[in-house]
Amino acid sequence: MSDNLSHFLINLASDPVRMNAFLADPEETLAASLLTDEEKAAVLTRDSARVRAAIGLSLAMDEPVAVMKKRPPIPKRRKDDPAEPPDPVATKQRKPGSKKRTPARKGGRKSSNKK
Amino acid sequence: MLDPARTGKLVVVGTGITLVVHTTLETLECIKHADRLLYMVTEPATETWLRDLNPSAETLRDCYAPGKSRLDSYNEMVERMLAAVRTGVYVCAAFYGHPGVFVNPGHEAVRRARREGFQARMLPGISAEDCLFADLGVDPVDSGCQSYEATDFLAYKRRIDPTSALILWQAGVIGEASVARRRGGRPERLKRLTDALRRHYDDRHPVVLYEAAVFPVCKPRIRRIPLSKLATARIESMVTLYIPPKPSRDPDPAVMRWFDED
Repeated sequence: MSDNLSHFLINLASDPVRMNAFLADPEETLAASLLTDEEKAAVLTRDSARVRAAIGLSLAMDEPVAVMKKRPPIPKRRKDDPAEPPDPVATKQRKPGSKKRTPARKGGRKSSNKK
Repeated sequence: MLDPARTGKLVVVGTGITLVVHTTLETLECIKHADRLLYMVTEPATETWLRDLNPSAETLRDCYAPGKSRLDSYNEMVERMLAAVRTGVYVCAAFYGHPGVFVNPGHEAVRRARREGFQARMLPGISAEDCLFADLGVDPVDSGCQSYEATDFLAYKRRIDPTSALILWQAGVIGEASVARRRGGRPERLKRLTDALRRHYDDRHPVVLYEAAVFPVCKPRIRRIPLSKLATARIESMVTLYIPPKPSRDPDPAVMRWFDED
């Protein structure tokens, strides 16, 4: 991991005057730094992924700190169910006389196509 | 209820998305003055900065492990935060982005600390969604905005209104329960997502692949593709999908007439 590049970025971010100087003339700011040629090239791309790669291996990086709060229960499927049940909102109403697929539809739920 | 005998204190903060510049002054003060600083951030440079600000800084990264479920990792993070608070000191827990947006351990730690009688609060931070609104130039109030985690969106068949904007988080890690070094989303899962979206949008409808700048010298990554290309697009884990709204329905005239009333 490049502490050198990390500190270069931290110092720039902490000092608006230096940051403005960088934005006005990135090459000049980089020429005055102690960064390696590889690090300078990465900074010049202005691309987060390239700069991240130049800093070095991420920590838990690329791992979002989010997940579904709980895994949804897997509903039981009947033999005649299709592999993927239709979206109850987006699909049209079932044809009259067709079988009900899941217990959740018991109770005569009204059509939700109304807008 | 607050127990005055319990001297430990917890403040959960967010460092924002972009290094240093997204951290509020209030958060900065907490980070500097905490007796113990625990952190979970995405960038080594942010880690370096936090360690410079507070020598007590200690990462929560080791709560993650290959094969270990994320929920177990989050539970361990909560335990680590609470264990520190129980020693009676001022604990600051710093997460990247907003500490209460897509950070399960942040809210849970505050809830449990309060339940145990400790003083605990969360400070707001800048989230990826905040960056998205600024970088894409969209106002979420213009036509409303729906925001879902992509796996949740598919698993629970969330009902959306396509005349409002739709934001889908973590489309690059659909259904991934554990730490995985996968680069880009699984095509079959992206196809499933595309099929779900096709019920509401046509193939030419634009989808924006957005990634905020994490360093102040960088620019955000913004790619616009038609929905038909989504299933084959390379989508990294940090990418957020923004799907612009379809044209609004006509407004209800009865409501619009309210503007003319005295």
